[in-house]
Amino acid sequence: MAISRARRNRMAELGAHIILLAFAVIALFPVLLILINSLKTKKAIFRQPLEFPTSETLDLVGYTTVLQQGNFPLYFWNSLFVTGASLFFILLFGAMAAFALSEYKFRGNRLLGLYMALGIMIPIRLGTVGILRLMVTTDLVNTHWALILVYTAQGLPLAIFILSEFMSTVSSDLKSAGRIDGLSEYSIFFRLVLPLVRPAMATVAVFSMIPVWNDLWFPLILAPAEHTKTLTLGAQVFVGQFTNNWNAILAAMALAIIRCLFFTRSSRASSFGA
Amino acid sequence: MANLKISSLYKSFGAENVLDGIDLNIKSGEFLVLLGPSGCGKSTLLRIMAGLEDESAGDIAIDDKSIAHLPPSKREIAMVFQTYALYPHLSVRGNMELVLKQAGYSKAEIKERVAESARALELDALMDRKPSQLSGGQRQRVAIGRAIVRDPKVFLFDEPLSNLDAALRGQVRLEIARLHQRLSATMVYVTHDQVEAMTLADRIVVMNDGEIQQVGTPRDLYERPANLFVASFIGSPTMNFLQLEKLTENSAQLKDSTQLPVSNKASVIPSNVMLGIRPSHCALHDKAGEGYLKAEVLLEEYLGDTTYVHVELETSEQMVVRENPEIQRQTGDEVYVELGISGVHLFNADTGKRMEVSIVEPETA
Ligand SMILES: Nc1ncnc2c1ncn2[C@@H]1O[C@H](COP(=O)(O)OP(=O)(O)OP(=O)(O)O)[C@@H](O)[C@H]1O
Ligand SMILES: [Mg+2]
Repeated sequence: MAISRARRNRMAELGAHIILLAFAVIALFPVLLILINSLKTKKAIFRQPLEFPTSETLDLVGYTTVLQQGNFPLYFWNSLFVTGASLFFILLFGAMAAFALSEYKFRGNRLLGLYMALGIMIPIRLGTVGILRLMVTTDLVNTHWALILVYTAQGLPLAIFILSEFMSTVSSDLKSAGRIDGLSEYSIFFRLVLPLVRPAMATVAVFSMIPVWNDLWFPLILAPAEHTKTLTLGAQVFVGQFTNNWNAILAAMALAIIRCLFFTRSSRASSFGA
Repeated sequence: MANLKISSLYKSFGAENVLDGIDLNIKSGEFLVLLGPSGCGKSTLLRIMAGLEDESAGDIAIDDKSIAHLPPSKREIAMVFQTYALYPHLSVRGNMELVLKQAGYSKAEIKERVAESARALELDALMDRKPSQLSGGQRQRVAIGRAIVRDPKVFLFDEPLSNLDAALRGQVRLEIARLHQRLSATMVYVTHDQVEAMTLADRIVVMNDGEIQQVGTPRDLYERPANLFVASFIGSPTMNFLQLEKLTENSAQLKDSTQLPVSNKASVIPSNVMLGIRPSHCALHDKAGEGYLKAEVLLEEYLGDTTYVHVELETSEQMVVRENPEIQRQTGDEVYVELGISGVHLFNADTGKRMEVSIVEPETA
């Protein structure tokens, strides 16, 4: 009886793993395709797209173009800096606002929460003209801060919405105990509440990061200068009107993927730590 | 050690009055229990004492100095919560040290105080564990330890035993009683469990709907309840209530026209009077007798050391009578209820207030 149940459990486990593995293969296949094709000659990309590079078809021309034409390490750094800084501010201000909205009773609390939630529904791009004007008058065009400010504003509504939901589940007795023990409101927020909502923070981080990292619109409009170009914008060089430089595009994509893997690993590590 | 004085305290949440004029004088070293049904405002009162909630009106003073304007950490109080509220990321030691660190004590003194509290509560072996690695009883002991390290003037407990199972509850209750003896500190303890209240309290405050119903020793409340609410709230099973037909200067007439030799000193005798008597002051007989009430057995609850017999009178009022467990009764049996005159309480049914009565014993009358 016990043995057969154990065996049945094992079978179920195996089945689940097979399904998950199949799903992983399907999901990872295009990624693999990009990675192997970025290492091949142009002919080989179109003739045998599914084959691994052989000694004849191996060609690193994509990578050399990418690394020579345009300053990809710089684009990379720009993307990284803008995404990282935006993420930092989204999480910091998002969590603080969420705490205030869920913890303190003040006039207009509900209204303010609703106003923040509206931002989830209205795309920030609708305000592009206004934003551009603002950036021009404040002399922020072609700086990282132009992007960081816009992305922070773009990410805050969802962050506040998700985090205030989580903050209201933190035991009020715990906060009361902190107050009696003489912790300031800032300590209660940073030392008691934040560690408890870390999993939610990781979720918000992932959700906020992807659109920022992939965005083409605002870099194109607010910071197209060579020294502030992001990776997504930089890679556009190879997308021509009539011909695409596939080697370079694939190489750029491969680099971006590798980068993304690093990001996901670090955010996963933080959510496991909670 | 300190006395705590609350004067005409009001609290409302929006339009809802949660506390309606509370006056309370807690003596130095006293163990005061706030007892009342769910939602009567006990926790709110405690949180206002702690400074976690602002009062709408009124004042709180410790040792005759108002603390109403002080933040929680400056009130020299400690609080123990129902949900323990231990800091999850800190060890037991960290939990106990935090308040002292915040108050700026020296390292040596922190160490000494924490060690002393740990010894008192037998927490030594657990000092480096995280709260998640402790059982419920251990967690509550840590929470109590965290309260005593600061050596507060007043301890506040908000239903500290509610999350524990029955066996542990008895054990931690004993520990709290011992703690009070040892520290002889002023303690305010909220509960809705009367056993906790009766066993721990020097005095009990019975609350209902944001108002104090009665303040007194457990014995006072049980033997001389000030009104119908307290009479029915204290004691388990609850007191029996019978409507009186007529009350005169020296006799009380029940609905079935039984006369009881009870005299009262009321200058004006109210028309609507309720007689209360506890199950332990009643007795059952098989045969009719002077002043006995005829009744029918509805149900018998056997508890081992006693039996509670539920009966229905001819007036269709129901009563519970405590009886020797050796006697067995069947549903439908005809019995006669004797009311022990010494256990009779009279209440003005319109105001709910207790009426002072004296018993006219047949022999002496
Ligand atoms: N923050 C709040 N906002 C609005 N109403 C509240 C708030 N806190 C408590 N109340 C109301 O005040 C009343 C008293 O609450 P309180 O928590 O003091 O009751 P309690 O006597 O402690 O009950 P219990 O035994 O269930 O803990 C309740 O009706 C509750 O709904
Ligand atoms: Mg309560």
